[in-house]
Amino acid sequence: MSLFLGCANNSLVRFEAIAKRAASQDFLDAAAQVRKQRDLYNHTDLLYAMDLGLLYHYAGLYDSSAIFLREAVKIQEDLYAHSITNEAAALLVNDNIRPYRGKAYEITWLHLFLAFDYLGMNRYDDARVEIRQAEIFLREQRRKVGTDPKEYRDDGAFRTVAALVYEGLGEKDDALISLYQAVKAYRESGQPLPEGLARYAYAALMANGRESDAKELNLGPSVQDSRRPAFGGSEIVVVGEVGRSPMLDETAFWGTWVRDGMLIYHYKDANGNTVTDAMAAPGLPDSEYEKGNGRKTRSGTTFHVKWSMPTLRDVPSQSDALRVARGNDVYAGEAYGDTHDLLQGDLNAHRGITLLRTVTRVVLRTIAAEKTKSSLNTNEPLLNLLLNVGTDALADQLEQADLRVWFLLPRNLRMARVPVQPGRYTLEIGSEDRNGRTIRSETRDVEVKAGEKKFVFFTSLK
Amino acid sequence: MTPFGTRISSLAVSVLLLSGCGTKVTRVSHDSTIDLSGEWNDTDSRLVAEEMVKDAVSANWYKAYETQKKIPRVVIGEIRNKSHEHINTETFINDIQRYLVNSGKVEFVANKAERKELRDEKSDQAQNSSVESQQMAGEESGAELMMLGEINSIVDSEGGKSVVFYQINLELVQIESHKKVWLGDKKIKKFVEKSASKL
Repeated sequence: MSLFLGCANNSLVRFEAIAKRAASQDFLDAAAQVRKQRDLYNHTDLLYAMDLGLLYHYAGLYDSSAIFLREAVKIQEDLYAHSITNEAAALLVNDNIRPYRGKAYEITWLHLFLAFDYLGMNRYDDARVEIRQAEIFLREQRRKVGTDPKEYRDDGAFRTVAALVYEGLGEKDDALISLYQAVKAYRESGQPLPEGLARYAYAALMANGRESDAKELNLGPSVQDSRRPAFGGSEIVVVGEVGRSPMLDETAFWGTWVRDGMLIYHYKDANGNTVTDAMAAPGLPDSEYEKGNGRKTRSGTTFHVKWSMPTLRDVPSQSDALRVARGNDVYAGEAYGDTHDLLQGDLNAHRGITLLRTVTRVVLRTIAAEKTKSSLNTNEPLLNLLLNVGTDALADQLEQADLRVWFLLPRNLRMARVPVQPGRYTLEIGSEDRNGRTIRSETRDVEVKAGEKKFVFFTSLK
Repeated sequence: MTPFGTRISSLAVSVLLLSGCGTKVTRVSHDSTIDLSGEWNDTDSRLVAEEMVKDAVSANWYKAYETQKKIPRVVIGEIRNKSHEHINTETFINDIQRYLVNSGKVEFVANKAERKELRDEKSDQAQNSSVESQQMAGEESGAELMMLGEINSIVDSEGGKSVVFYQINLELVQIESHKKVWLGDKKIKKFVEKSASKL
């Protein structure tokens, strides 16, 4: 039992130990910490591989990154089979003892960052493999979640990168289909459609006999700009991994469970106001109904329960915008993906099921604690008090919200597309805060071949 | 059974169970078929190479060489992986080369990257080796045909079940005329089922 108990949630300790180092751009130091503190990754082999892979990616060690991210893909695939014993144990202890399977958007981004690694190594065919694997994952995800609008179903950032990869490989039809899917993904999710993508998709679809797609997506013509990339043309795509992803924190819930199957509960919202809600709690066992013959029943009696639920916590960072300069031409990076929206969406979509499972567990455990207390009662008031307090404390300690999340992801995935003729170029890439002050900058020399989409990665988590 | 006997039996069962936890390695024949994940593996690479080589050297284009009692010289071009899996095309290319060379019906010349390395060596020899042992530049055998190809796949999946279809296309192109003298394909279909639960 002591294995399940801990003073602090491992995810919070992991955040303190790893994320702060990453935010100061000490990626290799953070990776060394991950390796050193392997014990923080109990039941989270997936996160261990994802964390190491992402840190090596940020450090520009794309080959090392690909090794760990591929390991993460393998772990995630192997986790398809749910362990019956583990699931049963989670019902008694807490969700943290289930192996972490990753949130749906994290799995897409896992393949996306693997594709980035291969693009960074100029291995375009391998990047396409990752694009195709993410497409298969998203197809299965849509099948699983059906038409539920709250669920993560597609990913605009991923589809945009997929379009660029296909385009760079000269696979025009796949590129156009991915462009269509990219716009559709933004429209369906309600996330803002990047203006550059809308303009590009419209021009590409119209020029390639897909007018009906442009019409269906409600895309229209816009002002022509010679600095915009042309479909099939060579360009430098600067991917900015900017800012820090939010993490998960615990929110305390408390309430009264009525034994007839009703739970009235309260929690404090982000503004500090107490919110009250009610839900159907687990019903009565048959043994209670069998007491209808005059014996005492506990139906209608109540008891107090408390638990905690994961809630989104923003992590502040100065890095906000991406700016790329080639000579006198300056390109602003547009936001294609925001992990705040993705994580919030995931929490909203699964709140009901997490709440139900947690409440069921807490209620079962509270009943068990009551039985334990009554069986341990003695004639000594002081001893009774100690035993009762101890049992309550043990039950409380067991409950921990599942705060596991891939918080090393950037807050924003920004892209600046710089159309160029084949040749060698020098770019000034920088991140800025909300007031336009430069947070960090780098000079990069980039060589581009005819028709090539040359990807350059820039990380600013500070 | 006596209490002592019961204890001994329990201990034996525990030891047996625990002994199953270590790594176990068994040597198997290099050409045995073992499917673990359902992904492209060495067996696929070997079988596809073997069958496609058989098909290639029994096709019409080869008869023209046979009647002239000539052995065609082939260079391997790009064989691209367009599938959904990371497939080591080098292994596949090596399998093809091995079957073709061992058949005695085709000669291979070094590919672009290998030629560069060989030329560097010759240039080094020109400066450092004795005249008698020096290998001369300008004496290479030029290839007449280039082999090109790609590996494609289609995946249809639902839940833990998936059907994976691989199509491997190879072609031989005359370097001088750009004529395609042989087009071959090989298809593999796999049904992969993953269990949704375990103990």
